[in-house]
Amino acid sequence: MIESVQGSVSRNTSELRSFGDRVLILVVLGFLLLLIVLGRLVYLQIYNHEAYQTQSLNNRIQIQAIAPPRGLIFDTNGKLLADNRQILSLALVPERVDDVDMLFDRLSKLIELTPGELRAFEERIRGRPKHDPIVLKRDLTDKEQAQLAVNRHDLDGVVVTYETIRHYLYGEKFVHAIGTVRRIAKEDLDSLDRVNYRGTQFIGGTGVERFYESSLHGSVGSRSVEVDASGRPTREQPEDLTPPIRGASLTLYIDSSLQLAADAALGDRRGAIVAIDPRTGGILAMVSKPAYDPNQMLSGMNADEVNTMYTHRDKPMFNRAVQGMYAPGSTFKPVVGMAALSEKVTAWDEVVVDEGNFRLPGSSQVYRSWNRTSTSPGGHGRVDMHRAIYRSSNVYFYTIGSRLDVDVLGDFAYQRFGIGRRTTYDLHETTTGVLPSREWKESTYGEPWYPGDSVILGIGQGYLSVTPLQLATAATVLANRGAWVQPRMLKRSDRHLVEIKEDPVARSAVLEPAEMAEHWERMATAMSAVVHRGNQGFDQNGTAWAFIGLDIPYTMAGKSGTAQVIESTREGEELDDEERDEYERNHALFIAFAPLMDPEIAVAVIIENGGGGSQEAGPVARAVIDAKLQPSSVVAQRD
Amino acid sequence: MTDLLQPDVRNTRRINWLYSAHVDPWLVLGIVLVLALGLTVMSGTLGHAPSMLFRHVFLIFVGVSALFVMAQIPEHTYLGLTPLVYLGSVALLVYVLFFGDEANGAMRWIDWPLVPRFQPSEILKVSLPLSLAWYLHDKPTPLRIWDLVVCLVIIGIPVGCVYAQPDFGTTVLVTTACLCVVFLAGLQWRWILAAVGLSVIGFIVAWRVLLDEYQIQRIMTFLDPDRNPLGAGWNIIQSKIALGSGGATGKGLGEGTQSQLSFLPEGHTDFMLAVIGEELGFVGTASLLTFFFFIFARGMTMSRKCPTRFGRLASAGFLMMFFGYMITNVMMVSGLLPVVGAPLPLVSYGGTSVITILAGFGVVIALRGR
Repeated sequence: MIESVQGSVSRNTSELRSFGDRVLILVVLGFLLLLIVLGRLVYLQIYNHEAYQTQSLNNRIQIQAIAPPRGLIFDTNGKLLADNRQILSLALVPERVDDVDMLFDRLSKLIELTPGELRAFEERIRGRPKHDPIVLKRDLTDKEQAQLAVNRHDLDGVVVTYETIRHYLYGEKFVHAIGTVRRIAKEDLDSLDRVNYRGTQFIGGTGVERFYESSLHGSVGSRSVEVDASGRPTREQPEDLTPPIRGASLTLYIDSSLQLAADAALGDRRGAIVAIDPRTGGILAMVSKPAYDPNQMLSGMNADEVNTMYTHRDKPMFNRAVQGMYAPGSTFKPVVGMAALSEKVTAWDEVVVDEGNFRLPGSSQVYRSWNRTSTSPGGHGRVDMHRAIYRSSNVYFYTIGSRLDVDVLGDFAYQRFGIGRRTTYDLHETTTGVLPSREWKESTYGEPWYPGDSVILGIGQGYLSVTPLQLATAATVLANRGAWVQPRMLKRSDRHLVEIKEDPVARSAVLEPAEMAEHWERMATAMSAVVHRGNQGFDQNGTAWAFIGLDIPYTMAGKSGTAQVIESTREGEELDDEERDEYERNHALFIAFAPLMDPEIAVAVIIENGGGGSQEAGPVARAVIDAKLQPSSVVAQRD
Repeated sequence: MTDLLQPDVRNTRRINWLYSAHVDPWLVLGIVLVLALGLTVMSGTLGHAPSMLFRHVFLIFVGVSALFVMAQIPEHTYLGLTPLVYLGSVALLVYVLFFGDEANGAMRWIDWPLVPRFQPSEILKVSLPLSLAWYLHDKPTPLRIWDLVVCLVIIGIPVGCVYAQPDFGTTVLVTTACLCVVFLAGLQWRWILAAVGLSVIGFIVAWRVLLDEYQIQRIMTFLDPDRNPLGAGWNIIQSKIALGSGGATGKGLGEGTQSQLSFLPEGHTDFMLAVIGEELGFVGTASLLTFFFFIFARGMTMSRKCPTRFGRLASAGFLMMFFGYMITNVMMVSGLLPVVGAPLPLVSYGGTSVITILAGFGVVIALRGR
């Protein structure tokens, strides 16, 4: 340091002087800030002392959160699907209860309190401020209310509160279509906006309720309530500081008359139905059965009852429409056919002789026809693509499937039909299904892709599995002659929604060779023959004609599928013979769209262990389409 | 050099060593007063949690020891070690971004065995003034533009990491104190004026052109907590009631209803001043502020007398850091500034913050020289 000082004495002194000046400036600035702060403290502690003294000693201001009303959900015609209703609930204010156990004792003499409710209360109380009322029992009956009112004097800290809960007007009929809310759990608290959710008990758990949670929720409001030293509100009216802002209301594409018709058509059978408007991609109906009543789940059900919902063999909580994975069976044949035409591995006029059996060259493995019997191998004789679709020839599609490279077929199904991927704009699809590829098989089974795998993939069996939503999407693409629309729930809303990043493109044509337009059109025609080709004699009619095509007043295109069930029993499960018989029966599938020209609806139906696709699933698909195209006749039938 | 201890206890070798220890009695007096006042009030607030109180006392003990040790290290050792300290603190900040513990949505903490949980951004309060002083100690005044750019880079790298955690409060406070170092190093007045002018224009442009309506709304809510009485506003409303109801002389130690009844959240951390104001009144808050200013003024005087430019800049920079945190906290608690999460130095229960601050004062004493 000594050297540097000697090196530049003059510079150093001027530097020192400037440093000293500037230090002084900062100290003076600091002093001014100190004066400001002292002035502020004088203002608060001396000048306004009495006002604050009053607030602190005689009164306490409590700021209460006002939960915003959740946005409403309407169907496409403006019919209300979900709103909010008020129930009376019993709540405790922790800071006003001296002895919780004693209070529980007293309460349980007046009203029924289950151990489950007490456990849930212990859970709920954690992490909430001590002056917030915590709900103990919901949906009090009139009698319980009266009991509480009479004994009010020795129930300190007990309050009866109005609680607003979600109400689904159609209960279990729409639960898998629009989803439900669920109570906020402890695990949610970390990820939620604590301030905005301070008064809120519910968040979207599934479906639209979940996807549009931020918008449906709205913004919390607040009011200040004066309470005296013992915590009782004083007479003065609570003062609203900020009003809550109601959540956005949503209008969905769901058409309640269609949803109800689909629900009725499926009846008590296990399965799923998805209907899409091919013009917009709007999901018109989405049924999954069995289902459960969300209203009971929200108010009445206790923990054990909820548990059985989760463990029941038929899985009512499981939304088969978006989560269920099924082999598509023959409903996949139009996809294979279009891929083959696009790849030019076949043409409309190519004829395959179907004598009921198919063998790969140099292999002894025999692949069979669906219409084989104990005495005959079945088969459909000379078939071209058109006939292969309306007769659902397995041998034809074994042949075509063996010519198509699995990755080429997979890519076509993925890109053009949305198989193997999440396609919807606003649903949480938890699974993509399985779209096999060479790489997939290598990494899953450690085995190469065998030619035989391609043969059965040609008829939609083997490793392939799809969700009903994906099947309906594929039907939509067929209806649109190859054009892509993204399936979606939301039609419009009363304000801009944060979830919508950009306006989704409704419908996009795909650039492809000119001859493809003709292929799509002929595929649609072939599918209409499935339904309408009749009176041609045994084994010459469309597969579904006898079941739905006899009296149909419009043109409908369809394709049936009957998928083998490979695994039906779960580990450690005992079934009697009758049950085993039922759970091992084939799944029945049907995809359809109508009218043939300018389609207005595309449908996919899956009936678990339903049996034959044309026979069982076909009429269900027709019932849904009838509800769309001929609403009056449906009403007439029902009456 | 000063007599810290009474002559009659100077009879062992250990005490002899202490006698020759290098400290500044005035600075230490101010620090002891603040620590004593803070601990007295905190023992009432944390009466229900003796283990927390014990931990706080222990950390103060460690901090005071650090002060004495740091004060003995010669100035040229600091000059030599500063680049390492800088690189070390940057490394820790980068480390914490990837492997740090998350608290309240921000990655700020390091939790290593044998060391108390700490925030690497704490270290910046000491290491960044040292680093700037190290770079500037042989540069000419007034500052050349190139030197200014280098300074901004030295500040920008660690502060950028802090901003990414995210920790907005620390970002602003550390940057401000660092800019004071650059100012003290001889930043030309016309550049200062130009910078002020540019930021005013930039602010207006951003407000009028770049920001959407909802972004402006968000900023307004931040600035005016009354709009949000459930969130940040709650603390401010309660803290004003605590201060105001304390009046001139307070409700007495341990008698503050606001803090004892948990109406005032974080009474032992960021809002400690409100507790002092409630229990000891204006007398308590004004004394505390006086002690603080005394420490600041004494420290700044010492920095003027440092024998080297490195020492001057580094110690003044640390004192600006100290004063900045103090005044920000007080303005926040009294409702003059939005809540940004700045602890009250030496007083707040805040883990390792008290160690860093006390060690920093050790550095200030060391740089003053003998």
